[in-house]
Amino acid sequence: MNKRRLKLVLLLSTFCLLLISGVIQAKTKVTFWIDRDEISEFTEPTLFELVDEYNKKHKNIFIDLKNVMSSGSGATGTGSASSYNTKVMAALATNIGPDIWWNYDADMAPPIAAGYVDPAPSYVTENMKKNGIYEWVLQAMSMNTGKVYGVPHDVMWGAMLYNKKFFREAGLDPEEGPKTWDDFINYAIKLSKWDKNGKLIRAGYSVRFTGGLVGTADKWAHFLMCAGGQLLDESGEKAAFNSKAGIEALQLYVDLVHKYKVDALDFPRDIQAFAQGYIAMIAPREAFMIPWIREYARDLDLGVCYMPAKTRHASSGAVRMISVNQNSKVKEEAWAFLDWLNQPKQAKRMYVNNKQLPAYAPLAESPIYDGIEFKAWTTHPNVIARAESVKLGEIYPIIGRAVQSAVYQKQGVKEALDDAAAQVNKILSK
Amino acid sequence: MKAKTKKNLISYLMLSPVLVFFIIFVYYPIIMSAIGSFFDWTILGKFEFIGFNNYKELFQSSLFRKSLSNTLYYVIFSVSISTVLAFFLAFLLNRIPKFNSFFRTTYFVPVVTSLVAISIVWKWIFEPRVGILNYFLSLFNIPSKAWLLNEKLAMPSVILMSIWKNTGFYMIIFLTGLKGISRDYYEAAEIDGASTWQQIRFITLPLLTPITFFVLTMNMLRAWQVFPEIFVMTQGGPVDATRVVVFDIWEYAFQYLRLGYGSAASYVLFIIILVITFIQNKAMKVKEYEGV
Repeated sequence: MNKRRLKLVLLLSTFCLLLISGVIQAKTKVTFWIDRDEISEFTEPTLFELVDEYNKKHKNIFIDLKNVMSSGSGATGTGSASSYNTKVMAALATNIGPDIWWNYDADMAPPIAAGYVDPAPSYVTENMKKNGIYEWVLQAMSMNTGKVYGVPHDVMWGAMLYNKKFFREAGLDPEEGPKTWDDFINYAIKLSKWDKNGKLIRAGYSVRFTGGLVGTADKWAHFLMCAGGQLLDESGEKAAFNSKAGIEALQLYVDLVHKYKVDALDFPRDIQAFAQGYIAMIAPREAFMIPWIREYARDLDLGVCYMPAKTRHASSGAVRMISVNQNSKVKEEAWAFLDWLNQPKQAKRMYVNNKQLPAYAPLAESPIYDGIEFKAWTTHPNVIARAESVKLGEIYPIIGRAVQSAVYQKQGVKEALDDAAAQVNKILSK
Repeated sequence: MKAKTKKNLISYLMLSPVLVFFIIFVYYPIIMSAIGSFFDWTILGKFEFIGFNNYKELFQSSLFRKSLSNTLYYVIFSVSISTVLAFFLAFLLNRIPKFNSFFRTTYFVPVVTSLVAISIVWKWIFEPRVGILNYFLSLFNIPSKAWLLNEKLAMPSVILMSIWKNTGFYMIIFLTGLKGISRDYYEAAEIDGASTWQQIRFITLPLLTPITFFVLTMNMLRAWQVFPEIFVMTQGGPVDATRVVVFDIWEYAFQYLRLGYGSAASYVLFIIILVITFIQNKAMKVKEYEGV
């Protein structure tokens, strides 16, 4: 090959390479982070499918969906939410954050407060409203700021799960869960079992007061709301959980353990223990427990009812949302994708096909939710957003600590709640 | 250029990558957190000078005081038991010629295993329903206990695990020290009619003083910084019964994103460790014996 020809070949190769790289670069890349250890194992594959579909439909856009928690830290049993959250915060602070990311509403609060989250454009909010999004879901994603800071990925609220087999054994109607707190206490006593030494061998109801403080506060919030209370006042600037309702709700917790002895401080208290038959009633906040139970505890005869009422049936709701980075250079593309993701067709695939609680009321009409186990969730009255403040992340652990402190009898009920309220008010006043 | 200067220059050049690494990843964060402890500093941008407010808040916090007392509890029991046990095992191994390497390896295996992995395993060992510890106790009609859920048992359980994990390391150090003591001393003592206990008291322990201080210092440094086992096994609970200082630092810095407050707590811990190490070094110099 002579020199001229060699030069020509080199020139053409360079041109072709530049052309190819130019074509690749012409695609707008939108980075999207999720935490595989925390996201529902049922919705995650659907999310990847939908992203693939969107990428195929939009030749000039590439949604780069990445699980950034491949360490499997969830396997430690401590959950990976905090590690994921720290990773996202550090990335946002150093301006290498994703364009869009998934997280719990409580964990979205600090970046919202610091101005790192882009408020949803009006067309996205309008479309969500048009598609029938639950009002409380919008409230949860706005955190009392008047703006909506994302779209829902999945939503969670509480209901009472119970083991029908134990109901039959105790002479209770397995089709009717406890309706009031009096029913609830009576049922819990009847369902509990003790050995000859008086040691609890089956909990009538599993009071959640150990483990993560946020989880502890979350589950107690159901009872607070059922007693007519709320975490913060209407303005979202003052603690309201140390009210009469709060005292009644926490006293109920203390009584269940120490007076009625339907649970014990050293008794197992997770959904696995419920699935294994150590617990007769439990109130989680995640409806994805139902497919989980169906998958891993197939023999369990599951009943679901509303949270028992003191003054009303109510439940604390949380949203795991997807938000857009305020500093992203592709905000428009990011919101267009999220808007598409929340259109009825895609939302149906995400929620209904995976038997997840829907964020949109019309989807709750789907026959898939007709079974008793879902009906109690989808028709649950008074689902109230827990995210009433951008300082939720700091507030919840304080409430959780107050609950633990009272149940372990380190403090009286009123004292624990008043102490926690003083700390919360200090944070809110900053 | 002189040959010596050239040689020095090459040495400095060879050392510089490590130095750069240390400056970026060790010294810069140390200095930055010292500065940050005087600021209202959140990970998402806020950086306002507040003087000693973080320190003030720290000492007013009942939670921090609880963390300090829990850490002290952990340090006292974990360090004392593991040091005594390590010495005892080393002493026995030094005397037993048969299966020596087998026992040495057996005791050392936990040291080289991942702490997080071990913590998960021990969490299962302590599990109230299916845990092997309760099963073992049931063979002797001892009622089962919720080791990590009971506020009185949680910290001792964590201490038990850390003793199991760390004793092997200190045992090897003691063993090295024991091997360095001349047999002549013991033979002379035996001729004089000294009992085993007297040999330990008047020969072994005095000659092992520098090693003992080294083990105590290393063990204290480790114990004051206890964290992974707490994070994995108890998350500081129940009711803060196992909440330790590093957990407090982690929670404030990385859960509540209050880096300034977390930095202040880190410096309080740093000063505690510094003072203890200083006292130990002073004590060692006073008591130092020659001959090892």
